[in-house]
Amino acid sequence: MLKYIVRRLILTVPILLGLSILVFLFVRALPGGPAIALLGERATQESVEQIEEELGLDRPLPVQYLSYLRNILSGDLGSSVSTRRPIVDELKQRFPATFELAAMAMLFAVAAGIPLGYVAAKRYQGVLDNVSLVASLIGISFPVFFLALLMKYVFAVKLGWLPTVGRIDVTRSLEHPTGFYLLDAIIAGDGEAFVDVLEHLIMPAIALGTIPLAIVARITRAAVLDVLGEDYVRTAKAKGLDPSVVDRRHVLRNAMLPVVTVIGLQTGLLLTGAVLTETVFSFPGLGSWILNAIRFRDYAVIQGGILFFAGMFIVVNLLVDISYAFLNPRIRYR
Amino acid sequence: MGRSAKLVPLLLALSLIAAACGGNGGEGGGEGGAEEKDATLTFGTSADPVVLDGALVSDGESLRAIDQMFEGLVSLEPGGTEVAPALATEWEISEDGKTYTFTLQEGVKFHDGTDFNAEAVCFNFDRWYNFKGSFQNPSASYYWQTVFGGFSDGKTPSLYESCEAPDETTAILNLTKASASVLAALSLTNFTIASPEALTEYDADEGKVDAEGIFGPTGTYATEHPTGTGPYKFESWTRGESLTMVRNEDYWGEFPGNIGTLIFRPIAEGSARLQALQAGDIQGYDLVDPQDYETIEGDDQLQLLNRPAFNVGYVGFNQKVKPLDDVAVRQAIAHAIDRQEVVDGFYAGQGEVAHEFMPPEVVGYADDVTQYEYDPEKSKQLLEDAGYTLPVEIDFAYPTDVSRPYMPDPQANFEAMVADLEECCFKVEKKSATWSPDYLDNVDNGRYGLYLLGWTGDFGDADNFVGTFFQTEQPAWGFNNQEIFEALDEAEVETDEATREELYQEANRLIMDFLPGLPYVHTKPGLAFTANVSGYQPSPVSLEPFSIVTVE
Amino acid sequence: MSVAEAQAAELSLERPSGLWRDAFDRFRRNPAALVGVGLLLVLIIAAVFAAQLAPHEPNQQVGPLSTNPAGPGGGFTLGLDEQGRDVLSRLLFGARLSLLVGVVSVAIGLSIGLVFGAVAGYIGGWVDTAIMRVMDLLLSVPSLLMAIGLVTLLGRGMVQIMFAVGVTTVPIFARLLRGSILGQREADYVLAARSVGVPGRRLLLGHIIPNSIAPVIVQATLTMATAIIEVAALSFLGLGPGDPSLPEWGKMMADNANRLESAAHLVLLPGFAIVISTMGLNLIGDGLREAIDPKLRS
Repeated sequence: MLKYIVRRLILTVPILLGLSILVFLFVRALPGGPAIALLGERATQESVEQIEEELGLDRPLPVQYLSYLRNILSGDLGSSVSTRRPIVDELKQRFPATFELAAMAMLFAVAAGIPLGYVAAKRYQGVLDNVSLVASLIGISFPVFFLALLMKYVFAVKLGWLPTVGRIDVTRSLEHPTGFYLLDAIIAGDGEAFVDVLEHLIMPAIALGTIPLAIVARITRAAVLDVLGEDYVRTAKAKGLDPSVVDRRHVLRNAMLPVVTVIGLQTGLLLTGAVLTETVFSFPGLGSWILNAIRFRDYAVIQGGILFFAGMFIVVNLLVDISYAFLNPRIRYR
Repeated sequence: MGRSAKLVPLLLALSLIAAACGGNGGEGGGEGGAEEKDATLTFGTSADPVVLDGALVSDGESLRAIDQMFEGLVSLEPGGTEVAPALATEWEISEDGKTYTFTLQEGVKFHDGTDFNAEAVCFNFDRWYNFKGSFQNPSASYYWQTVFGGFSDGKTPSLYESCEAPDETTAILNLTKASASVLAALSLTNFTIASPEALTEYDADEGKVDAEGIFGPTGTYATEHPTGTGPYKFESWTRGESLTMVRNEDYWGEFPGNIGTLIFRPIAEGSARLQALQAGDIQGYDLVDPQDYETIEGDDQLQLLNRPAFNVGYVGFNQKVKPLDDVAVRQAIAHAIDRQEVVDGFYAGQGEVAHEFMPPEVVGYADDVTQYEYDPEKSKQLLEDAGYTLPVEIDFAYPTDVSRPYMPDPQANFEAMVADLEECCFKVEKKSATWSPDYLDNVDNGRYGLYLLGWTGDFGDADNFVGTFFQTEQPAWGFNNQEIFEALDEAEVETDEATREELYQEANRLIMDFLPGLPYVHTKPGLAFTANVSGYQPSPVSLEPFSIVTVE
Repeated sequence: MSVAEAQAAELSLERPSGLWRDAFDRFRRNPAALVGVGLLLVLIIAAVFAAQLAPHEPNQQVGPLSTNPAGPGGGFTLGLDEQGRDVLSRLLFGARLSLLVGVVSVAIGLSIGLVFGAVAGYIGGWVDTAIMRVMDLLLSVPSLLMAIGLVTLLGRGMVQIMFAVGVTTVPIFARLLRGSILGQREADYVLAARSVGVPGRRLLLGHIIPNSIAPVIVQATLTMATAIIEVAALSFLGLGPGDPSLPEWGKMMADNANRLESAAHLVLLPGFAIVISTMGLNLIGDGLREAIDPKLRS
């Protein structure tokens, strides 16, 4: 098992290396440059050249790449041109935001999706099945940002139930030792703050979680249908075992396997969705950060951010593969 | 001067009112009625500040925040563009225009408790003048370079010569030559005075250039310890979320408002700011979309304020792109676009058609420039007389992903203008790019023929408008017209106000005959507040103090 | 990773040939699928007969310029937009563009993906490894970010946008076809054909690919829906088609996303037009999957 993990980790090295080259080249191929982005309307040709020289953008590409690589390896991802802060500091602040959001979205998707899919399968082709199919269809067919905009308009602006933007009521003073606001609120023992942070998470998490919800429901349904038809389940039931025990012990457990896979695969989707959701709700996370970096040519942010995204994706998939072992002992790792 | 003299009776009046109110008010719980300044106001901005060091920024959001915490030697009249006293109570300009003697306000302390005095003033000027390396980067010290030119390393000549502090309350600024615009420029937030001790202690001038070549300040001054003399002092800053400032209890000047805690919250989209306002998440915001004016005015819980028109939106013509080098074509374009329709349609009553490259409020505006009324027939005539076959092909670009006071919705302006042009006598090749950096890059490098752009004034001087555009040859305009360049050179250095006005008027006449572009709008940008906010004083240069604002 | 790919994970990869007729019958008896066909038909009719159905030209100014244009009712069935153009007409003409976006981007992703998938699956060995590693690499970048990057790089013409969105779907199709081919390669009929000396290329083009294509078709339908949504998302992020007068639904909605308060019809109408078309495509995709996957037969 350990060996397997190590091998998997080693395999990610070429992927990350390849990605770093791709991202590096991408960034250099972009038209314009950070100089203009910095100066806005006030840019002149002269000033632009001066900045480019300072940023080292006049050196040959391989030289730039190598110095970049050397920095990454020493843990220095560079500094953001627009905020003039180290990327690492920015990541420390923004990763917890996106993580909290994605985790809540996934929680929503799983907590609602698995029961929905399970019930649908148990009532195959019944009313509940059709309702859950239609619901998941709507979830998939709505553009994330359209849903987010509508929800925000109805629940925040018109009904006033939830806040419109951000992670926390900014008039609230809460220390942020971890950057995970829910955790920070618990540490501070501040119940009100906890509820406040939660309220700020509800709409973004639902908007972000809708598509995963639909998919988890569908996959659960399909998986449960599959397992229900398996011989050992039929045998168990034929032997007169309590059906609820059979469900718990065999059906759900075996059906979890494809579900876990999908949850892993959804990470990428969540990160994509985060770009849109964070934009709609002015949520200070990774998605909106990288989007702005691409818009404003913040080289170091694009590079650092995308590598970080990809790294997260790889780690999540590794975790998914490892969790297989626990869910299905038949899979052996060499 | 005036300020401190007025302070006493005003405070007295305020304390009487506050005491009267405090008598039957149940909540609040402040000890002294007059000192009850514990309201909180959250204001929606369009972005985070970059850093909180006035010397190193040029973007509006940084300046807005710095302006609450710092003060310069002079400032502008609230709501106007006239120079007014601030940290300097009065000043004297020598005969030759090269020496400025400022008398400083007494008894002023920085937020860190150190004294404000003439030495502190000179410390700041010397700091700016001695910027090295990346601090000379125009993205950092743009305004120093615009106003004073070069640095102590002498690579480019500098207008700044030295600063002397003969006694505590006298600071003398020596210039290398006379300049007519220095005093107005000193009102810029970029030249506000910071605590020398804080600058030193928190390494304001330390920075490193990493291997990527990107400069990063290593000091914490500009991000965690900005220290000025202003009515608010820095409390905390979480990027993307909030910048919190609290009232400076020891502020030397007036503090008529009651906002004890001031929070700036970045929300990128105008519509999202409106929603946050409607939902009560914020109590005010800047840069209101024109389509929301009606909503705000129709809601008795909200109010709309407008800044004076201190900007210009224009269609730029790049004369390097044929046939724009032909003045007949430029005139034909001007006559083909129905500017009135665009302004009426898209500025929701807060715009007026522009006829010059500077707003009427600025000294030097001429009432008698050539005007180009909407007349497509005349356009056709002009083109045909000049020997063109219709339609004439031109390219025209607009920026996406941006909203500026002078063009809240560039695409709408663009589409309407294109429709006009095509209806008359042109065939338009439509181009677009994201505002920053692609669009600006293309404009600055002369890659477009026609393009939409504009300008918001930094201070009340004609040089800041027409001088910026037309004083030298620029790829964006693509022309070399010595007559205009010289007229503007002459006007810029003239120190006699009446002559200067005439010179700029003459320059404006020349410009509008030459027609390097078509100005089409001056707007009054909108701000929105909840109805319980009062006292906000919209300023043409977009910088307003919150210390005079009251929340009920 | 996209919605569509995850859905396709449900698909069984192996299937005997000759099921097409059965599948069609099953599809015909599936009411949800028929609703999907109905929705798609509406879309196609709107697209084909836009010129006949629309009361005005899509770019004709028929009302005043206004930041707060008139809503539905009045002289114009679905109201006007800020340029004083008729919204109904623009929606009808927009159907063309949305269909085009869906079809072309998927065609691009599909054809590139199929080539990679077929080569990887059929040749195997280090070629397979190399191609699949590159696909992994592409998959590790969120698709929308990749599309944003490509559009920033290539420019904002319709063609470039469709290409960018298409490229993000390449790994999905490549993986799908490769998996399918790997499954087929060891199938009895292939082994049999090989033993009687059928040449490799003919085997691949004549037998293996056709037999692997069913899941690809399902996937293509579902991906078309994602492609339409993705273009809308690009528009929302300010990277949509550069020509402002194009009545592309995503662009129409995104351009007016800030008018929910002042002119809601400009957001809602194109928004729901998109939802209807993606829903149609998803229903058809689901129907197709159930039809050709015997495992889901009751």
